[in-house]
Amino acid sequence: MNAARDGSAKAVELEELLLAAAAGGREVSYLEKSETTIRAFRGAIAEYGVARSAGAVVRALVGDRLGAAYTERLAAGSLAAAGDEAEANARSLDGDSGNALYDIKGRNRFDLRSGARDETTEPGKEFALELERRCYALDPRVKNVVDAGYAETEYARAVAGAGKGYREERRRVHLGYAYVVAGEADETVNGFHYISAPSFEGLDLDVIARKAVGKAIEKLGAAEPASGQRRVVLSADAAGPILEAFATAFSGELIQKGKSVLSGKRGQKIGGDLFTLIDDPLGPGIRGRLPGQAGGEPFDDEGVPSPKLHIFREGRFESPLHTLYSARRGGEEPNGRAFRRNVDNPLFAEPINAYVHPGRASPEDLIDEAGSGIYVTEIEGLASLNTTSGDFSAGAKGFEIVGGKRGAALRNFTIAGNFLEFIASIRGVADDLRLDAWFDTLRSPSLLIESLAISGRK
Amino acid sequence: MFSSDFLASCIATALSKGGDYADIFIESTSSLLLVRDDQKLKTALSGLIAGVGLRVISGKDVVYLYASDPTENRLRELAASMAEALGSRSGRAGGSPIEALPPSPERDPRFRPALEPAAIDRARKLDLLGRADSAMRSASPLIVQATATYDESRQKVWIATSEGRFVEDERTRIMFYANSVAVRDGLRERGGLGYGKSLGFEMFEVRGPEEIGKEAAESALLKLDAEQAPSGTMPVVIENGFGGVIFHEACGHALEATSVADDASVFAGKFGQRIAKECVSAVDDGTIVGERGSAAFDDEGRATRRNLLIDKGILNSYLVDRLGQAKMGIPANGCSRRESYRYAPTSRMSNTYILPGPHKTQELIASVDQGLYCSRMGGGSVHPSTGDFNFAVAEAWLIEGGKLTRPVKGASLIGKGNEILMNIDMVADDTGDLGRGAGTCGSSSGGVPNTVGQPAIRVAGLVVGGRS
Repeated sequence: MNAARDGSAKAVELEELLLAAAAGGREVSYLEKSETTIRAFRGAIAEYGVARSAGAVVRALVGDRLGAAYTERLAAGSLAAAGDEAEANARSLDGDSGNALYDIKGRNRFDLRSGARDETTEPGKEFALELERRCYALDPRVKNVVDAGYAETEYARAVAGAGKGYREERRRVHLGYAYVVAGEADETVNGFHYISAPSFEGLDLDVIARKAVGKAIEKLGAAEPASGQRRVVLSADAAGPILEAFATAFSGELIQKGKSVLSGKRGQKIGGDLFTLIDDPLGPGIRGRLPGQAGGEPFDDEGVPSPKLHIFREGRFESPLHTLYSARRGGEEPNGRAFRRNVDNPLFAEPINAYVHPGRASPEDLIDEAGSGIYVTEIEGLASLNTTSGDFSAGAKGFEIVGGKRGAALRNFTIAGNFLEFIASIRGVADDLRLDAWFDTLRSPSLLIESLAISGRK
Repeated sequence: MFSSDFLASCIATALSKGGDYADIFIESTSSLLLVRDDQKLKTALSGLIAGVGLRVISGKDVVYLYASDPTENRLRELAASMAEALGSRSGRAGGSPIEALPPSPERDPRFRPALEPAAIDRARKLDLLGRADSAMRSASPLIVQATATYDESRQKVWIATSEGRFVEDERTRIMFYANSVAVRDGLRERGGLGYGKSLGFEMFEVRGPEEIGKEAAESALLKLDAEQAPSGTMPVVIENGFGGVIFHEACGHALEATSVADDASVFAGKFGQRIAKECVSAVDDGTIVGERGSAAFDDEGRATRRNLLIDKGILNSYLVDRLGQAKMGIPANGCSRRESYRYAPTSRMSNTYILPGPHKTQELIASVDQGLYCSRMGGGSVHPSTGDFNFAVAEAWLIEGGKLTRPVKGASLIGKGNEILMNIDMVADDTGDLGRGAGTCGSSSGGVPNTVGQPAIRVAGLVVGGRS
């Protein structure tokens, strides 16, 4: 049977199933994931996995009380039972005028998959094996290619509203990655790189191998820096994760309830002029829309449309990320940022495809502009990051900046600061925004930061 | 659910074209999440996660297939797909299928909750949230927000293996969290505490919501008075409770077969060698009744065990699952775990802690001239291949002249696990309540419940990532 036709037949059944479960004033949200995973290790396919899981969450509004229940049994009876459970859950709660279900209009299915599904299992195995070979071949100091892998994942999301409105979106992502351990004498270092693409052909094996190996080898022979306030250039790999970890602070609900470092800061210019943070579901990168992926209007897990937002515009905090609840509480238009990672998770506001607007300088230009300081290429662990106070401290790796050039490698140090001071002290934004990072809801090009606290050995 | 004969037939099908070992994991987990936030009962989310995972180990390789909504047909399809996947591989003949599976052993009654959460009225659960909320708000007028969360789950599993094990098990767990926000003069800080057990509602007889709420509020209030933590390398005393995260991250993960077997651990090849000072002995013990990481059986159907990982500084045992056994030639030791059917199991910690030593906590503090005392830790992470770890300090004090002087905040601790382990040079005599060190550890087989309690320890030198 033709794979695409088979898929569309199932999609119609799904739409009918979810709409039937939503009848009677309920909202049904559906999540599905199908995945093939392959890992090469020491010349063999050491791990091979095929998976499919799907589940649905039913939400029921009783007056202004909103309850939810989920199930991974997708028969009509199970969904109806989940709906009754959601109603019972609603009755055990307090009312809140912010609670509502969105009135989804019309029916739309968006298929962002690039064509019919190709059979990539055998090519994927070859890819993983060749990736491992390539990593070993690049440098004799590569001691262990711990992971050389390929994965193909299809995601489906759908929301059926009480008023017979329906939204569905399907995507396919291919992933290639390598995790490399290199060593010299007693020293052991590691490097990781991944690329995601809408098609198998979009995975550049050579780039993955060279970057993973390069990120490991460049750490060899690193020294430990002195403690003190230093000018810092953060690579795209380091800047993105810090800002992404603060994305919780952009939640409208947490801001309203005084739990965010951005509480009370709406409309204020608190970042540097160069700091513009956009969340654009139709914008650049694999999390947005790529050439040829027309699709329809993006929507969130409540079925609310998700327009392009400027979270920060030239340093001014402009748009929080709203669930329907926080939008209503704040008397604002909803902006469709409510998502759940899995059916058993509560809804939470998060960005879709956020990025710091890139500048025109190269990362080398930023290093040159810094003159002296530290070039941080990797952040390790942001567990201490506090989205309420804005404080953060994280392990880091990188290089000395001497005379505007990248100098000796550095290890075993931390960078620490506060989010508000951090965004206020952005002095430069580079042009190296990654477009191939599926797992990063917020990305950044390299940034020049006027001052961060460095803690090291001395 | 499924008969043992049916599961045996699926295992036979799965192994019909190749493979040495197969197991089936069927799960049905019901959960309830209740949240009180901003003085309102806001969230009630309940439901069912149900699925099946089928795994075959062939030599040192593994194939894992899973699907949600387990039915006999779905399991038959998975078994046939497994045979097809293995049949396309070169070489190996099929493994020897089992004829039949024995009945499941009776559940050890010690692992049954005294007060099954599902049988407790919803009102009593909501009352816990209200009591924690009141405790937080009454701690100080500076507390502007309070959130209390009750998270219960009952995971029912059926595990069948080609080695003839068949186990039905139930794991009942509750986590309770209190989080508060304190504000003074525009300064905004938060404090939180999690408390969890593999018990029923009786866990609140040990520690009530008032105590958890009060501690969460005090933690937020303390930070309002705290200075920024210092920078640089210094001696650090780490208190019990969640303090055991240092051993968990700096050492525990690198003792799991997951990384050791692939030579991706700093402790690979160190069996029988000294990796810590003599004062350090450490165990991973999945058998402690009631603790969050405990269960009667692991996810390969073996009885859980107490494994002595480090004996007076000598590496005594790794944590080994069935795949690790195939790779390392060391018998699996009851530590194979996974978040759910969506993950193949692998070697994981359960309740991991350093055994008590001879000192009083006060002696550890008094021995430090200039350093840091970490009264409460946050989460952390590690690269087992290099030993590079980091973790967050949630609450700390400066030690000056052997005394605690001023509270500090905003620090992380970093280092290399193998170096830090050798730097633990004093261990106190009080392990405390492991339930205060309860959390969820994320790794290749997903987020699994565990505890990280330990007595207070002194680390001779650690990089403290502060700002002053």
